[in-house]
Amino acid sequence: MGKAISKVVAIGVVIVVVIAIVGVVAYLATRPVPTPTTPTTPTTPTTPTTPTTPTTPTTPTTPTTPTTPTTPTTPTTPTTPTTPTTPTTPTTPTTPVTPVVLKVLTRHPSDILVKAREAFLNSEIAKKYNIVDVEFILLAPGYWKSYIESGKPDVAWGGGPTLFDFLYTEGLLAPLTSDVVLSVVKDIPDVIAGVSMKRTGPDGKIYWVAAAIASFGFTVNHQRLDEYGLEAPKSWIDLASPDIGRTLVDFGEPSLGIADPTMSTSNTRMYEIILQRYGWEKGWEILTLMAANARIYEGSSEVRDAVIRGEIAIGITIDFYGYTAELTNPSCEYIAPEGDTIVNGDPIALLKTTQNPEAAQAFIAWVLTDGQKVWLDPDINRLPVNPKVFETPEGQERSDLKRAFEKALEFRAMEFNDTLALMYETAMQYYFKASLVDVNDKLKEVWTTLLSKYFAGEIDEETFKYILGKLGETLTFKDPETGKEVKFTQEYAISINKRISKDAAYRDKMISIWKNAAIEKYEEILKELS
Amino acid sequence: MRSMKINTSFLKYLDPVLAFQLIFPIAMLMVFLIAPLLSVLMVSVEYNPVNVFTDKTFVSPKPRGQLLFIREISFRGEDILLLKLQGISLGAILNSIINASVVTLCATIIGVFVAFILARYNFPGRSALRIIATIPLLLTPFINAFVIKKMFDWRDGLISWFLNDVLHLPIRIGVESLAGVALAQIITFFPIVYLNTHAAMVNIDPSLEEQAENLGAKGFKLFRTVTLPLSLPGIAAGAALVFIFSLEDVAGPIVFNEPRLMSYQIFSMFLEATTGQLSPAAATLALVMLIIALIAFMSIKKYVSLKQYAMLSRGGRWKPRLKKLGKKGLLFIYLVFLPMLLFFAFPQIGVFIYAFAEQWRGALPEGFTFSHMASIVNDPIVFRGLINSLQYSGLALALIILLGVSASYVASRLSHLPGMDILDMLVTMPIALPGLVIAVGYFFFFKDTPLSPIALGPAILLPLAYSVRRLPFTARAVFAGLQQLHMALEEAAMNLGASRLRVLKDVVLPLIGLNILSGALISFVYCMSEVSVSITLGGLKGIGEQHQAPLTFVMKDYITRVGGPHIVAALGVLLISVQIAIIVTINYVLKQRYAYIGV
Repeated sequence: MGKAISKVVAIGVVIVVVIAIVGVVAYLATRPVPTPTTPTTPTTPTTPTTPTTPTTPTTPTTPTTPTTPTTPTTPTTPTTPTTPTTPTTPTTPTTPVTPVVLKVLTRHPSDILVKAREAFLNSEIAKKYNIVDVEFILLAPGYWKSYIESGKPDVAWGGGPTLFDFLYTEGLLAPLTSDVVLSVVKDIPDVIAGVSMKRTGPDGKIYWVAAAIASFGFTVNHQRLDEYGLEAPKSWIDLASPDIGRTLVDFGEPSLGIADPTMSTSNTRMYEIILQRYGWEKGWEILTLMAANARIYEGSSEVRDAVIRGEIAIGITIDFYGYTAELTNPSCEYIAPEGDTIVNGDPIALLKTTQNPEAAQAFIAWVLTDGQKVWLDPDINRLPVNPKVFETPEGQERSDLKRAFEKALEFRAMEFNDTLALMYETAMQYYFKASLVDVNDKLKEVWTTLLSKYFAGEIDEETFKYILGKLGETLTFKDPETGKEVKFTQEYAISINKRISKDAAYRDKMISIWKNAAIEKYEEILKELS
Repeated sequence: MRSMKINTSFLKYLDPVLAFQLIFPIAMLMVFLIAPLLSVLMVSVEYNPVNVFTDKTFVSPKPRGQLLFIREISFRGEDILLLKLQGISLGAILNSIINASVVTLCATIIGVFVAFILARYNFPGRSALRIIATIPLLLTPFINAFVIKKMFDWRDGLISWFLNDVLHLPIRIGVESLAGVALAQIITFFPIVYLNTHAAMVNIDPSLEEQAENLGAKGFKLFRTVTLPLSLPGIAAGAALVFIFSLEDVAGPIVFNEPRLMSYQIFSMFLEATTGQLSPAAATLALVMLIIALIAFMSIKKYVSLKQYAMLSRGGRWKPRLKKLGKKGLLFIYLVFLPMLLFFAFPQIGVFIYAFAEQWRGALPEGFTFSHMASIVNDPIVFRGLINSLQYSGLALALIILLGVSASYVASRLSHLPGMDILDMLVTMPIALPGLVIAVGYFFFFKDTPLSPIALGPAILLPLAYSVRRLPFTARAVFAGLQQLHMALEEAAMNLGASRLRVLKDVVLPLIGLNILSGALISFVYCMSEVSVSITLGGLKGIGEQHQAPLTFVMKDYITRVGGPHIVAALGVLLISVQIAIIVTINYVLKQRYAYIGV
């Protein structure tokens, strides 16, 4: 009997040891929490837009849950920071004795971060302020507020003006105070293409400053365009033209590439630009025809790669993807549709939770000066915001980016209302996905049939226009709550935006309704055509 | 005598060690396999599964698209005929079922054909051809499908380049969307049928075929009436596995950008799971997939069970009955059969080309470089992924060995206990369970527990998922070893006063050590190259400098980066090397015969 007990003990010991090993290894594997992570999806986390996920942070209550601006009256430029708790301005700008580790909250992808960290730690300024390491925390925007409050990071870097204005109104940003950074900020243009590059509070202090700029447009592959006999597009509306769709009829092959907005922040922003540039109704007609013309990819980087590979001839991309494409494949070119797009400044800011205000501002100063060279890396290709970087040897090697920068300075940008875009963003994303992405094969069938009849001269211009209008019209469907027939207007989108981003079951229901309504509409048009 | 003893006093055998060995695997599999599967069922029922079937993107009564696109076009200043295989869509659920059926049918025809030639005919170079035929089974997630897509691109693909630019035929051929996925799967999966059929064919008593021949059966009649029926169990097992693998394959749809398949739908729903939400529709799709897979599994349950496998792995008891080939036959082998096998092996060759070429944008690769291979170590994200996968697989392996040895030992030594079939089934079932279903189950089941993959990241759940999914490989190998170990040895030791633990340590483990090792090595390879759970659960914390994602997630992420396919190919080369090393070790160093049943 004693033996049996000892056996039991032995087994127990074995189990405990196994569990302990599992625990220790699991702990070791999970230890660096929070780790710098990029979102799972191949999105462009750098784009100066809004969250990848249907999370648009605004309400101070639950930062993890997706929320949208509650008051449609919020001014585009927030002017009143609630509590701009200024960090105590240090009086002695001397070298701190204790080594400093900076915590930087960011939306930049890891390749930028790896390069920036290495360059910064080797810089004079890092040594002067005794900064021994920079820890990057890469989080989806929805988590930023709660992380700032719990993790006490020093600096926020990258994520677009919308996100930074949100942090500003929440009182999470601290004004720049140190001379090191203020002397640098002077070098940065106040306004590029009509867009402010700095956020100045009513107290006259600067709360964030752009560290890079970006525009939205399309990358074309000239070799493919020539082979397909296509002209390079000049504006968004060109992407919706029957000409672009000609390859569908001739080669059974879309020539355009776009990305699913639920997977790509930059593409979301481009659709919002179209919706505001041409108005809601006309905007949706353009989006519908674009989707009919396009192969739809899962993320913006896939679109870029497809253009580089020549799978498509035109892809809608953010500018730095275009520059990367130009470098990778010489037959690629980035085109910014002038007057049809916006330039965004991608900010950097000091957080009010910083424990090392001097060192943190030294890092910001570095990002705005020597750190601008990181953007010039051939794998990154972003437009710097500080023109002085083009005077350095590294800057002189990138005359292509310099030209692009100078072009941006003279750029005619369109008026864009960020706040409005945020108010319908999530609803727009899922409506787009349901009516244009998920049933894309049906949409293409209608479009290809229509085009082949049109090209063959079987239908006249007038009928063609009429059917186009019908195809591009936003859907009418039965609202699951009221049971009434509703149309997907801007007001309706705003009214369901909050619920659709919070409630997965409701969202699934809406997606299903939209999908079926879209199929019905497409089938109806198909019947009309035959 | 022996059985009677067990029947009357099996409780005597159920000492604490044995009890642990019985309870531990059952408990583990209940928590980490059955419970997550049940949670899929629960979530799905709660959501109302009918919604999915009324959704026309999942089930569509009207077919969309065209199978074949033929048109005379003008391309690069030449008038040519464009031929593109595209595929018809009937909604994601039906597409998946149709796709899996087509893939299974084609893979079975090819597999049986290859197996028959290699098992029944002798010719110079036969053993080399046998090796070539298994090359497509070397796992190179994502990049092999990428190579197949590249081969069949009508603009810059090798096939069109060869037809149009080399032979100057006015024709270009393309395979894309649903057809592309099917093609990639057929090429990848046919060796599963081939290997199972081959194993079955060499196990047929040659005298049966001889008798048939004496009675006048020849050629196709002999094959149809004798060889085929006798190898049917092997063929059926291979075919069922191909069906399941095709159903759950997500790499093909991702590479071919084809969302109209169930696997892709589940995968894409997971992309938003970082926010803590997962659409309940994912559970319903997972449930549909699970039911289909379980039906397929039940049809081959007997064949993949521990007992059956132990018989099979002994393999080749008979002297092979090989026919010499005549001139015509030899011509056929070298001019048709060999090129065909090389064509099927091309994706793996293409992986090597991608890994060492500077770039491959046009039809032909350009330049030679080692820099992609060096990136495995130099790129911190890739290297971290590799280290993660090694850690997860190592951890999983420890569990697999513990589970596998325990379960197999109990199953072989208490085989007369009622309900032991259930243990056998539990242990072998994961081979037929789609990984995506397990991923969805884990998400819903562990979401609100301390093991939550959203809060903790995947570092704990991944090794557990791996250990469950890859358990059958080790369990079967160990069981095969135990079958050959007579119980008298253990009884003798026990009679001399050794405890069960001591018997295990000093008698059983040393004697089946090689079986454990070879089973564990196979499990390890399949952990390293696991795709479904890795790219769904594994990506929940994203990738960055200190990420938790496994290697295959990194491969999925890099396949869409600029220059990324080259790095993925380099990782593919690494995986191929590991797999070859392990297969060679098992077959030639450990001299273990193991029937390679599947992925």
